[in-house]
Amino acid sequence: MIGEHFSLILLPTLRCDAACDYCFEKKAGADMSIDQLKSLISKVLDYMEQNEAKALSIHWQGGEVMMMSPQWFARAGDVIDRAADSRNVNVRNYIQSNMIGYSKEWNPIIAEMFDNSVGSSMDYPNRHRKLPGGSAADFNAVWIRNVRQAQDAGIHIGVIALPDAETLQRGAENLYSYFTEELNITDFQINTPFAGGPADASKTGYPLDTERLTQFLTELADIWAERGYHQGVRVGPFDELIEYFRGEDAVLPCIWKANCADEFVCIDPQGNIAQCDCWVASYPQFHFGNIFKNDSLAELLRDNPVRHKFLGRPGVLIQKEECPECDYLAICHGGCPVRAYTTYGDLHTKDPYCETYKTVFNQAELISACLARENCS
Amino acid sequence: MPPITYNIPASMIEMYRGRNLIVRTDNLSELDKSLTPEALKNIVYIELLTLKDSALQNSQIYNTPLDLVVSDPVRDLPRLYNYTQWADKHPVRVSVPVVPGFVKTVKLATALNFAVKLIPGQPDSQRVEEMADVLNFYLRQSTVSQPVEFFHTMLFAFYNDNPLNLWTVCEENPFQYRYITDQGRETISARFTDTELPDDLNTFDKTFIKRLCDEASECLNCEFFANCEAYFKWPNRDFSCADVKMLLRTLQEAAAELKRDYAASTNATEKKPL
Repeated sequence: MIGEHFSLILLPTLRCDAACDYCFEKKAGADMSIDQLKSLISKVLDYMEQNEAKALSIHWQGGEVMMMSPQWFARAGDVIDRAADSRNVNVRNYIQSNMIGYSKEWNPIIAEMFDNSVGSSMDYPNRHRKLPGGSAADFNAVWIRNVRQAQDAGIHIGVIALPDAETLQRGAENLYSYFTEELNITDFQINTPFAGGPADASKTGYPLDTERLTQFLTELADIWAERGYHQGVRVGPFDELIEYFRGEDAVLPCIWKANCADEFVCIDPQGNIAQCDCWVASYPQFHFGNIFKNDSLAELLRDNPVRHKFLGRPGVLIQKEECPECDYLAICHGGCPVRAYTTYGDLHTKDPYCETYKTVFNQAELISACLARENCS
Repeated sequence: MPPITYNIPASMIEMYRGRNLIVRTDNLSELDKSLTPEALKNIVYIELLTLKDSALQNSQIYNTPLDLVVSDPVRDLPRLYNYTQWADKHPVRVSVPVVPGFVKTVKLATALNFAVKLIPGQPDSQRVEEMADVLNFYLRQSTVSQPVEFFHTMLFAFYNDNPLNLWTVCEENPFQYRYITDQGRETISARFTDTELPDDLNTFDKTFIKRLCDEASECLNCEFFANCEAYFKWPNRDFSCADVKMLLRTLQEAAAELKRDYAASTNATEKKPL
């Protein structure tokens, strides 16, 4: 059973034009063909029809999604629109790119298919995102040039940033200034890092020290509330949380869904299905099956024992963890399965950043009340 | 007066054709297959008595409100997650008996955006204490966005000085609801299924409630009599209401606080209904 809305994380390629130290994906295999996409979308729409779902969000990721051409996306968009129109399904497309391969050739497709918006990633300081054979500084130079070019073309750029120990040491003020003033990024989100995929030197120190991360995030929230909120700067997850506490329609990050297994799946270019990109790319033992080798996505998802482990996770957590006593159960439900698994080797444990989240929720609630009184100080 | 709504087992749908119905079932898929579109029109909501049936596809009961009836809060707690997506397609309520373990169930149900109906029975002091915690949670917790009954309706009854009583709020007022047992006998609600009620249900207020009140002297001078009418005196007339009165008092005070806040926020002197 799914709701009215279904989300698909779609990886048309695993190729990448970057060589980031902490990447958890295997950059190999053939790209998805348009014929494969047609077959895939047809099965996804069958599944939605069987579950009376009316809206589909497709989150295009990679690999690096711009390794595919704009022409490929134009054809893909056409295939999807035709199929969805015939089923009365409303589709929205989102793109997540490292922007290294961006050029103005992308502008029309970004405007038409992606509502003139691209999600990208950048860290402060960037130590791990690199070009093949190059340095982090080389990556930054290309990224900044391309992002500015896209912004000049009227494209909205949202950024995901992963903090590390050095980020925490430099502090929230420096990160906020770097994004908003130096890069002119007015929409960014801090994600909690985890050590996904094969272990290597870049993945030590995760999860981050909870106390220091919590302090960093609460400082960032205060800075944003004071200097950015009224200027239209969006800083996630605080902006969504404040919308939630104001009683507005808030779309909280996937890590805080009641049960992510009810809401979305991820499919890679070979048709492998898993819970999200982290699982599909790094943990084949957690694949649900292959969409190109099965006629029915509904049957595949209904019968797959691995998916049942994901579906059952919140029910296990509610019995073994202290989640029922938490004031913020309604917006967390034990957090992210991949963060739990990569930290504890056990899917059925709560997210290692639980204590940080609780403070973040509380901070957002206080800021929300403060902003509502319009005398925030 | 609105027409009476009959709470019936699914097997009796044909017998009660044309009336307003609450249909109870253990198996939603079976019910879904057997329902005619005409019968569906008269269903106010469906009571699902066993929480396991979550795989409902291509359902014709889309949009029909569902009441998930918890029988064992500890056992049923994780099963609520099976219905997470239902709230998109049906108004969903969880009915929870006030027995050990009910607090967690209420908290999870509200966290999943389900409405809640407490089935209080005659709660002992420990359970009333837990109900007080749940009441505080309902009143003060910012993440609660769904009603928890009977608190919710009573709060607004106090707010609007509306003399609603618990028999009505708990859907046990026989002028509005009748419960048909599996054997076809007409009674007040599920808690009366094993009781032979001597009186005509059409004179329920003048006979049954009056006798309950007469036999339960605590009701005589009770400040909440109009809101309760001896609701907590069944089946044991000697049940002490001291603890449950505290709950009603908290609701009354919360309504007064709400009125004050609302008046202050709108700078109005005149009371406005919510």
